[in-house]
Amino acid sequence: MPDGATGVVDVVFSGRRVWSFHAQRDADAEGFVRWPSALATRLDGWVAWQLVDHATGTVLASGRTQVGPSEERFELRDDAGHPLAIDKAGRCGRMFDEADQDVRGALVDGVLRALSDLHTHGGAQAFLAFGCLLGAVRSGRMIGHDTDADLAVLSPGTTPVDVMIHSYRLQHVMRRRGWATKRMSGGGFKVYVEGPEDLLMGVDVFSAWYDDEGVFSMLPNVRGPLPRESLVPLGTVVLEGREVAAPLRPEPLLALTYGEGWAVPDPSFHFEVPTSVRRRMSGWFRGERAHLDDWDAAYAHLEAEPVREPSDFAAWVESRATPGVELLDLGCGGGRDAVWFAARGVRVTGYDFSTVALSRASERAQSEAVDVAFEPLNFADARDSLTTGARLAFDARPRDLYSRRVIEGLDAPSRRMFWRFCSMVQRRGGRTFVETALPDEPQAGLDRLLSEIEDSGGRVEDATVSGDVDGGTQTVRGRIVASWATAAQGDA
Amino acid sequence: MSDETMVDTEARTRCKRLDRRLRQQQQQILELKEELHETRRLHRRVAELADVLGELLVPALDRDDERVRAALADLDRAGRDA
Repeated sequence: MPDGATGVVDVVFSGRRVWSFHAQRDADAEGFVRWPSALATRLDGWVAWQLVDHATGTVLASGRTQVGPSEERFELRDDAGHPLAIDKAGRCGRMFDEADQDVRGALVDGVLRALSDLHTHGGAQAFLAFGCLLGAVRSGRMIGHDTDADLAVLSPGTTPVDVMIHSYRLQHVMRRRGWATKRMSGGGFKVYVEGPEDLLMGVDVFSAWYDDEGVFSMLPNVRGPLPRESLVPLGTVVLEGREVAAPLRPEPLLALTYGEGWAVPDPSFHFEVPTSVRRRMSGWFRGERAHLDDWDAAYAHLEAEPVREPSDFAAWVESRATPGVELLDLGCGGGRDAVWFAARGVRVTGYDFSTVALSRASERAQSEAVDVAFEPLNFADARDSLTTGARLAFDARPRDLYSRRVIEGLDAPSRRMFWRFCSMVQRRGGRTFVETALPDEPQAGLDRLLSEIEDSGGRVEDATVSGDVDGGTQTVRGRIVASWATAAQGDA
Repeated sequence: MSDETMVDTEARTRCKRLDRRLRQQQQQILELKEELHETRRLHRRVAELADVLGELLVPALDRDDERVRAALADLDRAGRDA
């Protein structure tokens, strides 16, 4: 930590701010501040840096440092060359202080269209929230150190169940209006706005509500007293020269969201959410995206030259698969086995909950010139699992199901949904082939899975444990063959 | 046994009892937290089921296979991220 650093410090690379931290809040006992991982994983080459006092502009320290093996100057930019920075959530993205007026204009246009559709077609009381509201109230402009746009909707529900049902309904409305959407939690989804040069910008739509005791909550992390009359009937604020729906008196909501110091710009701000609020919100609304970021990151860094040989399990299944039927690869990852089966003439559909994995799998299939469909599927999301299962069951025909090293990563509710999915999809025949790691008490672990299969109406045809337990490596695995056929061909 | 020894013994016994009660209550708190978390998770599961039923029930009640197929495809698209 440089001498004289007491407040917000901007980290500047080659004359451009890439990150900010708070000298007292973020430093450890030895006075060091850890690089955010989104920046640390990208650092390479050399960088001419400065540490600048945000309030005064004073350069506290500067230098030139080699941060990686490359001989090139490090630039924090995306593939299209747009400058990036680290936001308040530690994510790397484009910042509005770098975006030209076209980008800001496109985003505000999109925000206005989204608000209009939510109101007109969804009947929703939707308003500007979080960083967008803060920037509008402070200066009438997007905050320079922010990367997204945020809206909130005052839900008519007073319990999390009703709030989520309302949020799901609004997402259906927006999707049928032609918006690309992505569900982020039970109480929030994104809609996407197209900007210049094919830039896709996300606009969050967060649910807010008053419970039966009158306590206000707003996804993702706000909860506390808020006079209803400060929120509705909605008023407007000016953002980038346009009038946008907002709380009637934004100040109480901004104070609840950011603290009493909300009026002072702080690029190093990050939310300090009370544990009780985080536990409530996570317990009620989250879980379907658990570990998704980790898997997305893993598949984003998958080697450019993929392994071409199938897994041992795929080779084992090939001789046991039902001749002439489609194979569904549940948890196909980068597509290694799905593509292998397809190259041998099997009709394959690969499913995974990571869209990054599905992109990599599609690339692999294209490079191998095989035809494989890849679809998203998330066993932690009951809507997704039941709908996909029902759609496949409605198209009644035998299918084989293949799943390698997926079961062990599912929690109990997701695993039960997995077996339910199998029972829905295999009503007309076919077999399910599962390989799973069994690191602790392998036989007991396998027996638990077999019980779950039977409890879900399945029949276990074969189950084996194999592999080594020596040396502490997790090579013990179980292989299960099961089936769920119930109805004869032509039955309802 | 001297008076001092008796007092010490009683104090130690009380401490052990309190210690045991504290551990039991800590265990109860952990169990209650887990039960609370399970209950909170139910909200999302109920909302998900209500949404699937609501989107599918009407065409299903109409016994209109084409509408059910279309509703399934539409609901499936709802699960597709942008």
